[in-house]
Amino acid sequence: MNDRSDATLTRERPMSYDARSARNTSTVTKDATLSTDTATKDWTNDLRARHRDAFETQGVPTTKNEEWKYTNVRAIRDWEFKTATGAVGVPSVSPFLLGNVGDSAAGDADTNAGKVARLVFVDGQFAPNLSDLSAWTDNGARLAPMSEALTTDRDELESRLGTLQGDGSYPFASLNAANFTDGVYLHVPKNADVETNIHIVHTASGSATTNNAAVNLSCPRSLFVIEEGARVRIIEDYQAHAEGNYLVAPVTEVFVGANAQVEHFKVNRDSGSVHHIAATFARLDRDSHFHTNNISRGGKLVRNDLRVVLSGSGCECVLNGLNVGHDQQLMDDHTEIVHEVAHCASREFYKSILDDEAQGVFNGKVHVVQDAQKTDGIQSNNALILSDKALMNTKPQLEIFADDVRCTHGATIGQLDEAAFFYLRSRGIPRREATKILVQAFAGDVIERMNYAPMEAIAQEAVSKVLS
Amino acid sequence: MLEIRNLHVEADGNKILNGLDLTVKAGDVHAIMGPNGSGKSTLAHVIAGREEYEVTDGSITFMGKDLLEMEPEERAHAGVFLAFQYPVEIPGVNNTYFLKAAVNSVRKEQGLDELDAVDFLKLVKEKLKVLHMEESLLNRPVNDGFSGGEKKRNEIFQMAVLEPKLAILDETDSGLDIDALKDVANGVNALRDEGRGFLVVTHYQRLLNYIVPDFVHVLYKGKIARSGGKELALELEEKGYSEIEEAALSGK
Repeated sequence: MNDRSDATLTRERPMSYDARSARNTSTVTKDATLSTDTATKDWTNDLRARHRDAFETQGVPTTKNEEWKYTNVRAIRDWEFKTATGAVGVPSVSPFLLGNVGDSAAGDADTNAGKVARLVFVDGQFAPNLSDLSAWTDNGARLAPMSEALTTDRDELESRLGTLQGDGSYPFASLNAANFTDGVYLHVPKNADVETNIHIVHTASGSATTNNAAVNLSCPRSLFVIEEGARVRIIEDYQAHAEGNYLVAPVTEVFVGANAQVEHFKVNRDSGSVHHIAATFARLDRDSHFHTNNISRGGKLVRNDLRVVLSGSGCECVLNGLNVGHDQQLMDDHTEIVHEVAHCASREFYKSILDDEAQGVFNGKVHVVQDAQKTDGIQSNNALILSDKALMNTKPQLEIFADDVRCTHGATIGQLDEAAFFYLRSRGIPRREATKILVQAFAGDVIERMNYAPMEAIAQEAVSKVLS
Repeated sequence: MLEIRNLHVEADGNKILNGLDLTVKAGDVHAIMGPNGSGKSTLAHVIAGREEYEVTDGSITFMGKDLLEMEPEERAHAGVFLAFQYPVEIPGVNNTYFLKAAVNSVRKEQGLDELDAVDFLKLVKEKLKVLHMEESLLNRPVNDGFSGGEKKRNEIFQMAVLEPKLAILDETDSGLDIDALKDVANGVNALRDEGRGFLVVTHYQRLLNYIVPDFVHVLYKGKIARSGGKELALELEEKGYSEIEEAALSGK
């Protein structure tokens, strides 16, 4: 382990939970649940209370917790939270729309993006004035902010919300469940082919700067229910460009019906002061496909818990990940794929590029129950370390109880290939460009797998910024 | 063009070159022969700028400039080219992209306009023909999954495209079948002219039937033990290196 005293998140000796954080978070809980809609409050109360108890009992995890061994979030225990209001300053999202990557050929990229419906959230709250739903053609599908759906779609929400999250073993997901007020609710009915790509933008108002003592907490909560035979593409895009301290703790639950196809993207391009601790849960019915692509390049600390349960035979999940870390960023992916039944396939390809003093963590669980015969699982995690002080911790974790399966895993951590580097330079390619070529080559295959031009462009841009 | 004086080189604390002297004039083809471990490949890599080798004494001057002070890419810009004995596989980097980056880096340093895609493609297609290479090679990753012969052809192809002033071939012939050997030799011979020097490092005399050298040097224990004309290669083929070894041992 790399013990750096100057790191923002210091690795001091793990301490047990103390009462302070419980006090802080219960303050948040009270504030955040001040809903005027008493009916809504009633039916969500049980969910909120359960997770508030779970969170308060465990507290902020320490590095003694195996799932948090390499990601020290101790500092969070001492934070005073306030729920961000979105009142101070309205952020501009226009330079960061889907496909609009930096200054490069925005027009072309937007064309590649296809039809896009955009929901923008500021500090976790739906901002209708920044959103654009004009391209949305519903096909009988329902797309609404969670704050509205809690009332209007109560039956569906009540039967689904929190069920994939389960118990309190994800502390920050519990924090979310206790405090959420908004997010996205999507319901796509049977056989609907949704042509409009759904772009969900989470940004920040910068109100944190008005009170430096408090950390803005936002807990976006989304539920996507994709019924049998339906198809949809969803992009969750975190891009808080404001200064100030933020803790963003999103939770997304995805129900993928039989033979349905869901293409899911999660992008983090937050500014460097954001702590982002997210959990995504998906459950797949038979013959369905769930592809999730995760790009992280922003934030101070980005933790993604991703749990996919393959619950019907013949279904397939593909998990792609690309992390590009600089400075003292920490990027942690904890994935879990549960093969509950026979004849399912899982594919997982994660890559990290770490420069400066950045740290990466990958923990990939694949759980194959006894009845899940003929499981076909491939997992790989590769990290490219560009500086002496960058650090990667990787841990494949296969738990296989069936006896007729194919499950492979591979993990590599390496530096730039010196021989290749010299070869390029010996042909006249300068040091800097040679490095770029090799870094791009490293990331190339996972970017291609993402298979949606605007996201590939965002990934390329992240990679090209490595050495600039 | 190239002047090497009293070159001493170490790697991992082992002395590999011990006072080597060599002069290559523009237009000349020099063959460097010698038994395994005599320092042939080290010499090739030191000229190209490989950092693992430590030059402890001596000098290398290339067209009036101190080569040892230059980065590998600067040497390439000045016109030095090394055809690798073991060309490096670079998965994920397209051969065309790589070569275009190389050509344009060199052109830029030489004050020339960068080639656009059309001109570049025209140039490479011409050169491919000389080496009997498939165009499909252009779209494959650099050397990735290439056969031994394809890799060596690719080296000579790069040389043909980059048109260096000094080309060093490090055992390019090793392991080649006769057809590939002829293609490689044709590629080299097509580039031979008054302004260009060649340093052909080889273990076998056979290559020199196709690339006829002006001078042959025998490297032994890090020094040039003997120099002569092309007939020296034939003599070595017949008698082997034992005579040279004996002469060196007796302190002659």
